[in-house]
Formats: sequence, C-alpha cells, structure tokens
Amino acid sequence: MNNERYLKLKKDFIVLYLARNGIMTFLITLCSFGFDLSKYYQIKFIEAIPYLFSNNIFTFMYFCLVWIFNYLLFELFKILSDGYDESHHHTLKFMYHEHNYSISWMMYVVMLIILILIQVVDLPTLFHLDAYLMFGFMVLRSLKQIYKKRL
Amino acid sequence: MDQKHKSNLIITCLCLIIVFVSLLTMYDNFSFHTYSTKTYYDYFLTLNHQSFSLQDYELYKDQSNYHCGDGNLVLGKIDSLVDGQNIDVIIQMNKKYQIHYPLQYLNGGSYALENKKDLSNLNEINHVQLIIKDEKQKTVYKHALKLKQVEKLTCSSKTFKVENACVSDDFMRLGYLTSTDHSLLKKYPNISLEYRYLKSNKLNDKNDKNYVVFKKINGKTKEIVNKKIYQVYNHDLDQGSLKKKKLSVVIILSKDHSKKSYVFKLNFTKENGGFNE
Repeated sequence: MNNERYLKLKKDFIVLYLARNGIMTFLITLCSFGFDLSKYYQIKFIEAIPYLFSNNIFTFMYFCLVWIFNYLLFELFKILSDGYDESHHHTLKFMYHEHNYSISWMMYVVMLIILILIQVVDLPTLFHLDAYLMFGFMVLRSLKQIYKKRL
Repeated sequence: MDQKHKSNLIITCLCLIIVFVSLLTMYDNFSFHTYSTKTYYDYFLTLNHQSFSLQDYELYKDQSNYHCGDGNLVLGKIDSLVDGQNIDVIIQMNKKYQIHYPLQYLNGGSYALENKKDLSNLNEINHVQLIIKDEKQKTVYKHALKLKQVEKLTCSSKTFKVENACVSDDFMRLGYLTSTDHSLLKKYPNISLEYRYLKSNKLNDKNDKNYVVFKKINGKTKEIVNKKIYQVYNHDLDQGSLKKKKLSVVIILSKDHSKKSYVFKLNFTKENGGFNE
C-alpha cells in the first residue's frame, strides 16, 4: 500500500519535474503582469491576479502569449547554452573544494549586453519586469549546469 | 552542435518569431483593454433644504482627471445676511477637507460652482456638509448634503471603448470615447454619437425604432475620440429612472455629415467588481 503511494508520489513529482520550465515561466509571467498591474492601479499584488483572468479576453490572451514567448525564449537559451558549452570556447576553468568547474563566460557577457540594451530601450514596464525575471531564471539555470557539469 | 540540436533550434526560432510578431501586433489591443481608468472617487452631491438647493455637484477623480463643481447652487434666505455681502461657501468632506467658494450673497441667487483644487489624498467621501460663513467667519448656515449613488457603466468593442460613464436615476455622465483604430479614425473625419435608451425593457432591442435618443454629440473625430472631454445629461424623472433603462450609444463615423459611412453601436453594461468599487 505504502509502495503504491510512493510510486504515485514519484510519478506526480516526475510530471512536475518535466513541466518545471513551463511552471517557472508561468510564475515569471504571473509576477510580471501582477506587479505591472498593481503598480498601474496602485493596488496589492494579490488583488491584481484575478484581474488578469477575469477582466477580458484580450488581457488573458496576451498573458498566455507572453507565457508561451517566455517558454520558447528559455528553450532557445537552453539549446544555445548547451551548444556553446560543448564547443568549449571562452571558458574559465577553476578548482574549488576538489572539483573542477568550467564557466563559459562569453555567454554571460552577451546576456549582460542584452540586459543593458533592454534597460536602455523604452519598453513598457511589463516587458522590463519580464526580462529581468527571465534573465534571473536563465542565470539560475546556468549556475545549475555549472554545478552539474563539475568534475 | 549536432543535427538534433540544430533542428530544435530552427523550430524554436520559428515559433519564437511567430509569437513575437503576435505580441507586437496584439499589444495595442491588450493595453487598450487592460490599462483603463481607475476612479478614486465619484460622487454627486445634492441639497434640497428650504429654499437652498445644490444640483448635481460633481466630485470625481481618476488617474489623469479631476473634476469638482459644475454644480448649481441656489441660496435661500439667511436672516443675518444682506444682499451683496461677502460670504464663504464651504463644501466640507469627512469633517476635515474643505473646498472654499468666496461669493457675494444674494437671496435666491444662483451660482455655478467650480473648483480646481485637487483632493488626491481623499479615497473615500462620507458625511458632506454645506457651510456658509459670513465675513467674520461666523457660521450662518450648515446642512448635510446628500451623496447621490452612481453606477459605473462600461461598454467596449475590440477597438472602441467608452470610459468614465456613469448613471444615476436622473443623470448620466456620458464618458469619453477611446479607440486604437487610428486608420479608421483618419478615414472618417466626422463623428456623431447618439446616446439612447430602450423605451421599455420588454421591447425588442434590435429594432432602432424602440429607442429614444436623449443626447447627440456631433463633431470632428480628432476632437472627440481619445480626448478626455465628457458631457453630462440630466434626465427627467417623469420618464422613469435612467439607471433602470437599457442604455446604448450609436457611433456614426462619416466622411461627410450627410453621408453615413460607418455605423455601429455599443451597449452599456453596469460595472461590477473590479478596482472601481
């Protein structure tokens, strides 16, 4: 009986794990929209969330579209960063606590330049927020990869 | 990069471009329907006491607009005052905030009140009084004002929206028309707005003959649409309460006043919930 429950839990966890990028990009989009609306209407973040889903179809559709965009952007980042890691160009290697770490620093430089460009360009607040959160998520993912690929 | 990664990259890039283009093209509609006006307060004050009266004194504020006044004050007899004497008429809210109107007293005199002072730090209004003070700042008249309930109205299509409209039993603020369809607005330089209500809610609302047009606004499209200018309508209560009627507005865009070119209607609905409550 316990074993069955354990297997079910494990299965649920696997589903969640497989959908982790979708869930994270959803949360990022939710936060971006929530903060943007709460700032615009001068209300609490939590009060802005129902507005996203119940106001009108245009708001909801745009929310879904930004979510898909974030998801695709993250997938693109994954493909590019994995491909770049394999090429072993512009890598910084160092040893820490008996492990060898390798960082493809060029990728971070490119990300920083894009982030500065986004900051400079006059975009609506919503996209600024979304970009910062997405970059944060991408950096977290690359840190995870560095840790995962250490020797 | 192996073949599998390359094909994944191409597919992701293609999808990303499609979504990106959709985001760009849909942004105008999204912002049009998402970032609308937030009303901080919206009241109409009235007074009908002895021979003193105040009609539809508007007190309204949103993010970009503040309006106070346009109300009509009629003064009655005050024994301690003589005609021509300077008086200070005060609208006092929440026992704290005051709007002053320096006037000259005239028994039976009618005054149009108007004020530009912002009450931005006021979120809610209750207990409003009309106070009249003489030259020595002695209170000679004091009476509570009635806060008139207004119901906020919304109406929108994909690219057109009437904002800031509200209705009470005998009054309607007509709101202002906004649109994102700039090519259509350019194409038709003239506009006519016909505000109307259904004669009886039981009648067929598809038939234009069942409507009473109570207000017409004609003018240039660029002077009316997307300008935060609004008009009001005072309704005769003998014809029934306005807020119980089915309200709509017919929008006629034309190249020439004589030739109707692009006509559509928007139905007003009562706003429930949201940020304005």
